[in-house]
Amino acid sequence: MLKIECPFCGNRNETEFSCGGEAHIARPLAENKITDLAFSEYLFMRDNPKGVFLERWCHTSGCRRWFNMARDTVSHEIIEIYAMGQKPKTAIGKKAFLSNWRRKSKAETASTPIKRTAK
Amino acid sequence: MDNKPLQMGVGNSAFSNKKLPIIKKPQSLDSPQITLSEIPHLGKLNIRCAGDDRQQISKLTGYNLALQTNQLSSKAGRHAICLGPDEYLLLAEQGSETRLEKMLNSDKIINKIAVTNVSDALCALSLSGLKVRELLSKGCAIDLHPDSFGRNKSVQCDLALANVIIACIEANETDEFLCICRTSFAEYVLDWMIDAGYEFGIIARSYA
Repeated sequence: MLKIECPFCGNRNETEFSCGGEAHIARPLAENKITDLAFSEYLFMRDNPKGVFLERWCHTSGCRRWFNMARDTVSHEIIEIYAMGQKPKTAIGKKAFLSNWRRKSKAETASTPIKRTAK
Repeated sequence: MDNKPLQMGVGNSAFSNKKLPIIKKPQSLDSPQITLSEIPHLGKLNIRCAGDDRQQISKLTGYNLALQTNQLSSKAGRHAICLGPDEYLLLAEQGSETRLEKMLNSDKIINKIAVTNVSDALCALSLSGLKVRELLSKGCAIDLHPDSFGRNKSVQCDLALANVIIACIEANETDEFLCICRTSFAEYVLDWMIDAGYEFGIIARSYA
């Protein structure tokens, strides 16, 4: 069983947690008007890497708070645990974040507001 | 101990319809080492609030909310448990929780607050005695040694797969613990405790 360090409750058994799947999936903004194909990348496509994976976890049986985790899917090593809304800080975590195909996807590009130039 | 059926709680408590088993004390023990009782009709309020408002809520209600997650504060028999960075559980005597709820909801200084009356959703059990830590550690993977789980410490975990809040109110020779579980799980938790406590000698008492 994995031992997971909850940011609020400390070291607990894996059975107290639930995994929320891939982290850092940004919703495209309506104003950007992307195609259905690009939106389906956001809606349906999930990564399943062999190696470091950035996931969301929730301490369901404890404080019921969400947090992010960088975990190696081969060795189950927990590389890093970081807060919601933040990006990984370790070199391995950063690499996994930047090398993800999603960083270049149209859906993610469309998740930031359109830059408007002042008149 | 005689073999009279034990009565738990009074009135419409979580166990009012439950016929409690007759508990026999193991002959090797002179006196029961765990006392278990329900605290019926205990008022419980769940509060979600921002950090800035904690001081005002503390001032208004008399509870100390300057707590870390999984800590408990006691003031004149009223307990506040910190369930998360912005979530608290206030325990109040029967009837006073509605007054507290109204007071918090109508306060002008508090910016953002969500008060939920969870009195009937949760059931509070009081456990005391020498072997309480041993009893609880049979059902959860929490380090309950007095060095790491002392007075005013609380924890949210699974006790025999049922989600509970365990809080240490008094840490001495006769530890006093509070175990709060879902009312729908109360009967199961109680059954489990009576079964798990059999080896230590357990006595179930009514608060009435």
